[in-house]
Amino acid sequence: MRGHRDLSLAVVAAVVCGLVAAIVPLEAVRVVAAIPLALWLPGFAIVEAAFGPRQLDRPQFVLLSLAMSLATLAVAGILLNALPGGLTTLSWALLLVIVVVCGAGLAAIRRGRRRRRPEQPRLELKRRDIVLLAGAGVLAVAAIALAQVRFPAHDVEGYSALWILPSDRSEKAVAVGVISAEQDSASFILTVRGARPGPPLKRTVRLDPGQELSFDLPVAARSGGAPQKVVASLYRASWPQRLFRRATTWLNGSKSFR
Amino acid sequence: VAVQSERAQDVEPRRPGVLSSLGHVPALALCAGIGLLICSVANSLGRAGQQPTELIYWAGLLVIAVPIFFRLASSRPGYRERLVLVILLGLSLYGVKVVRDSIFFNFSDEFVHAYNAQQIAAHHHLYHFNPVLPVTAHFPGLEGATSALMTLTGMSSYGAGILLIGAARLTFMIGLFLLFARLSGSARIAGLGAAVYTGASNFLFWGAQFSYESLSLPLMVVVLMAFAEREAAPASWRRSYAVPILLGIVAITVTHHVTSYGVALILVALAILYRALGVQRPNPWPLAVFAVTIAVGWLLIAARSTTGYLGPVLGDAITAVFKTASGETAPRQLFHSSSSAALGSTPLLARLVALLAIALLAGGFLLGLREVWRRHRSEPLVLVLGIGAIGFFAALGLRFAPAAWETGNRASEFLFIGLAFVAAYGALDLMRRAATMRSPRLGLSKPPRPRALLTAGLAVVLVGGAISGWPWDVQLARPLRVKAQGAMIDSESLALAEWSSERLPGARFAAPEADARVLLNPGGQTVFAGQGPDVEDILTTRAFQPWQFSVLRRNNLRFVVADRRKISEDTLRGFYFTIPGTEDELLPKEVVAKFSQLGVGRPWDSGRIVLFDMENRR
Repeated sequence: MRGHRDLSLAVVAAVVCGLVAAIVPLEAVRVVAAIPLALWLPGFAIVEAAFGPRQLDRPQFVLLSLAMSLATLAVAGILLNALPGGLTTLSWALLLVIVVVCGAGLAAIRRGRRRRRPEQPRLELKRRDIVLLAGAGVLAVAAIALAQVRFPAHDVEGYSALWILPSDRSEKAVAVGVISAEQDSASFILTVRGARPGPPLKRTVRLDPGQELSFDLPVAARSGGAPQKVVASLYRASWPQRLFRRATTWLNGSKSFR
Repeated sequence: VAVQSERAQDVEPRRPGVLSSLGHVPALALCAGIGLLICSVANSLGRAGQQPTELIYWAGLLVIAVPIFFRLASSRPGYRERLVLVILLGLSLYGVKVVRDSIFFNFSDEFVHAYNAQQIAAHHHLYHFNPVLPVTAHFPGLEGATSALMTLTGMSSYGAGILLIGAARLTFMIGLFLLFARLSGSARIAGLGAAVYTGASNFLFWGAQFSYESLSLPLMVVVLMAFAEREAAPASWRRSYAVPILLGIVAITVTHHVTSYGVALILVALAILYRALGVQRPNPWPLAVFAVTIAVGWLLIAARSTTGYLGPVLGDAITAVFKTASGETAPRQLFHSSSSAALGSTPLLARLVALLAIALLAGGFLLGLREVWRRHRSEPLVLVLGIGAIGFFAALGLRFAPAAWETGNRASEFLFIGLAFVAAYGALDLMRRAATMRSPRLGLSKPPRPRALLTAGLAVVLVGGAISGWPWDVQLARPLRVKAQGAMIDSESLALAEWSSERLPGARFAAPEADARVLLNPGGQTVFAGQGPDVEDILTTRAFQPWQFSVLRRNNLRFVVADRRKISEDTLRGFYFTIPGTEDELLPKEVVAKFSQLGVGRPWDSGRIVLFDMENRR
């Protein structure tokens, strides 16, 4: 690829990006490496290979490089799926690097001797333009950042959830949880009966919005294989007479559904 | 090479070696940034349950688009400035969709495709069964590409999907501009055509969602652009252009069924027109044969279920058209959602704007068609676009037939490409006429300002398209995750999805449509909804019947989500927080109580939503 600086650069960039994407654990760094590797370089190499010595004008070249990268990603998945390892980080990185290396190699061969690239027109930006573009960029980032922020929504209706599950397959305990998605802190009375002989377990809990209380409740040893119903009930502390939520599970219950 | 440099006629002169400065682009980019921020504020208010006036949002949209329209209407900008403006317009409007749905995908099909991408990334193989829309698993182009970004970066399907669709949107805008520029020989027509396309009813939201068509349509435009360039290039270039055309066709085929059939149809039409018109260039029949072969091959080998998916949709559409035409069924009411009768309808003014947009498009079409015919009637690809433009108005009729409106709506995305091209000619013709118009009787002592008129027309088309393409009440974001006393709380549907993802991994559910979507993604569960199998009736009848147990057992649906909210069957609105007084209609208590009477486990109760475990019983 001697004499074809753009192709050499593409190959080096693909190898470096592939290594970074496959090895580096930091997501932000991988994003920076993976975007050109996935969305630009394969298409660039394919277009260069296809057109060889012919020079496309810049907009068409950009479009085809981008589009062929997208097309490569769409089609390469089918190829990787046929391989034993399937679609993994390593196989994707390898395949994309191979596409770039092969494409660039073919392009170099097709171009033949050193091709003198016509001088690309320079972009002339005034200071005012730079300020305006920077302002536009800041506003766009602010708009997207604002969309990530979650604000209080006092008009929406909060709720609370009660759940119960056997904590494991041996069913020696049940896991019980209360999730508060109320707008304000709320107090509840939680009772669980059926897990142990005697009076039901009773707890008063106060939860802030977004808070979850969960605990494992050991179950008393059962005689024989009779199904045993465990019932968790939740009451609002301010209205203890009225059942608010109820969750149940059967220990040793029938598993004949299938 | 001459063909590459002769491009557009109206390129402004510039100093050699120096790209004409970006012209008005920096200032217009700032306007677009301001508009996007306004849209983001409006959506943030919506997410906070404030139900803000939509005017803020529409104002933001106009702040983005109007200055760009005004500049594109001018004869002054050069080729590159117009191209950059078109890109700015496309990406800014994509930003409007992104700021509406941050953190999670919110559109009904997005959950489905995000689930597929998640499955591929988790299992490293394609074609994992999708219980909500099985056909999507057989067209894995989008999800395969997304999984590449997911695995290479470590991003979620949301982050990777946003990036990928953003790249597709960029491709689409450049492709459309270059296609129109090549066919018309005018950058001005190309810019106006791309501007008109933003008024397609599916451009703002539907076409920007994380869905297979959002990738395949841009690839189709690139294929058409490459074809047009190939035809204009010297003979020695033709083989080079075959590479992007063929790779594009293959990528489309594995990405989206309808688009692949559309591409095949266009190429077949071109082959016929080349023959009929006696075009001197080589007939593109080899490309047509390739496109048809690969589309049929993929259908028969990998995606047989497509016929079972598309067949009934098209069949119902045809039947509905006949029934509506014969008066057997009443026509569909426009601007009315079939899924939620209780929803407020589109305001009268908004309806008028949408109808005015159609009227303007029709006017532009009529004026433009004459011009296109006069100039390009021997150019097959232009004729195909003209046929598409005519087809757009025919497809509008489908919107009156209840079971056909969706087919008409989807088809419009393709047909609008032709309409945008033709209407751009009409717009220019109108400008010329307006510039010379003087009518003392109408009080026009001076000619009207044609640029201002055209800009206003384009703004109406953009807003009208957005109104007719997406229900009025969900143009803005709604509360899905909100803050309460400094902590995050999730809507009931989302909370169940996240809890089940943690506590019941790999479980199988029967759920209402909306809950099913969030259980699918981010829940990652296998969940069935709707009528295949008939989960919908199981979840809405007052008494439990033996057949219902059989259906659940046959499909191994151990967990049943009983949701009393009527809105839970609505895939656009059913998974948000409830705002008292709006859409909070409940189903009868028996709908949930019937499962309690079976004596089955009840592992989750959040008030309106109760989860039942059909395997856990006495």
